[in-house]
Amino acid sequence: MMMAEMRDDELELFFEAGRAAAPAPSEALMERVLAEAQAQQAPRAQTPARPAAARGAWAGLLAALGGWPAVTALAAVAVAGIWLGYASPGELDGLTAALWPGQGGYDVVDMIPSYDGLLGEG
Amino acid sequence: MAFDAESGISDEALLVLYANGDAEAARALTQRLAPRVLGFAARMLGGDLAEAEDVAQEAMLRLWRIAPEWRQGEAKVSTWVFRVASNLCTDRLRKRRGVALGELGADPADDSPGAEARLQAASRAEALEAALQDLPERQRQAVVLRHLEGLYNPEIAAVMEISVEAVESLTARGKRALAKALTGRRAELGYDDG
Repeated sequence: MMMAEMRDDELELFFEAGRAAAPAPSEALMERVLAEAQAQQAPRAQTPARPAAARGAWAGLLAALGGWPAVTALAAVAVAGIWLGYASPGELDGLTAALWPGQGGYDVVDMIPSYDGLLGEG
Repeated sequence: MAFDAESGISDEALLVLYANGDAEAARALTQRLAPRVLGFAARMLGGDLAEAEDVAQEAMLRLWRIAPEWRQGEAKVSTWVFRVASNLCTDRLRKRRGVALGELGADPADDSPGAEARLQAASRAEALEAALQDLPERQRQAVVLRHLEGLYNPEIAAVMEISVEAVESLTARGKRALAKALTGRRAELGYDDG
């Protein structure tokens, strides 16, 4: 006997039964998927906290000063300053006198031009 | 904040929340997507549930990993997961090509009283599964996504990385082949021919 070709609505009955028979995920699978979700989430959640946890008071100071290169330069300048204070090289006296009036160098009056020369010719 | 699987919030919004550390978002996404991916994988893999679970777990893991770099508005989350699962299934089918496909796990026999309707539905489902396994892989994939997972053709096109026209052609050919294969099962399932 020749059977009639299956109609779309009949085929749909099979699809309907297929949808209803979809395998239900086991509890174990759902737990594994969730556990992996949390495991992937955990390291990311900690990432911003890590540098803060590692930074102590000294690390904070170091960062505030601009890192190691800045601190190295600062240390070199400090040592140079101490040396100048102790050794007080003679060449510096003139410079000090020029920059610090009243220490036996020039006075402010010395810097003001004089009119004496002009008056003498008149 | 608690989200259930049916709450109005989109998969994409949940994924962003997950990436920002929300544990409940992971739970909701798992409830929404894992069962669907499992069903799809089981059908693609000939009813091998253990293998389908591996595929579902791996596809979800890849989703968790991509979450921080997810580019919003580019793809639907479900489509993305189906595509990953689809590729994983293809890899597994390739590896075991030549090895006989597994039988569908569930036994439709049911002796409880008043179970006739359930029995019939189970028989139909079993007949459909058997017919699906005889389809070429791409036709099976398109038919399962369209008629069992309820995806739209453009979504299937994105999953399978082909054109919408190609999807339409695959589903049409798949349905014709299924109709032909299942016509022989109609009588034994107790349908009228008319």
